[in-house]
Amino acid sequence: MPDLDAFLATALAPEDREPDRLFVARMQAQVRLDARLTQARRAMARRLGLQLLGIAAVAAAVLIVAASPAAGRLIAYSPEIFVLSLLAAFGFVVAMFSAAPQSRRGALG
Amino acid sequence: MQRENEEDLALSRRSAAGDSAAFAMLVEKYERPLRSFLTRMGAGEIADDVAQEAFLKAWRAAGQYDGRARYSTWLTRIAWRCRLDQLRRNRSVEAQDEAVTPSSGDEVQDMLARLSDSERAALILCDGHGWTHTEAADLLSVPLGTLKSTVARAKSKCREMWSAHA
Repeated sequence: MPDLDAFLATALAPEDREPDRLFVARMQAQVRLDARLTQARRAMARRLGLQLLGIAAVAAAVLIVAASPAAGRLIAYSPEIFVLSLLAAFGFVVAMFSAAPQSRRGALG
Repeated sequence: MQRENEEDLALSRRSAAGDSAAFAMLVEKYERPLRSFLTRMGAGEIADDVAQEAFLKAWRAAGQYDGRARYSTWLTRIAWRCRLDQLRRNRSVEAQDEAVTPSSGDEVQDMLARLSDSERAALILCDGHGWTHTEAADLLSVPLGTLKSTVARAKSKCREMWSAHA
């Protein structure tokens, strides 16, 4: 009866062949894509952080200005100017967000 | 062995720095034993998917390889976890279907089908891939004594089938 140990050693050994170039190429493509996605995710997180900071700054500025007695007088005298100021702040926030898709495309491309 | 570890450590460090060509060299070197191990473990058609998942995790964690163990040990440990995760995900139905089924026509595959996952892994690594018991115990996260008895039990089961077949 043939030796079981010898049989197992032969049968369970990794197959004797050349490296699979196709598998290696596929893996390399995946790794490059993964690296690009990681980079894009980081860029997005940075941008999101900046946007949140911008929103917080605008909100704080609006609150401080609105709380001041001078602003109270201005609102009482001319509410239109106050609304215009709020619209300008809103426009600034919209402009900040609308710049994001372009840079996302750049990071992935 | 030491020299091989140093080479692999250097390649792994380059990979951690974002050098995909260095990582491709590691893939080229280790895809054959890793895919062979996963196929023998019963991963069947999805062995390549598990191998790819393992390589991708190895790429992301390249900076964590410190060269103390062989790169193949470190990589196979990642693959083993991927395989266990995949089994857990498919535990309900597919796990049993995917496991090597008896009477596949391949004598060794029929033997492996009758072993548990850990017995199969221990036998493949120690008897087929030439790993030391310590390395296999480390991979399976069991004490050395437990690993030795797992290998002995696996061999005993194989011997029974071998005798019956002869």
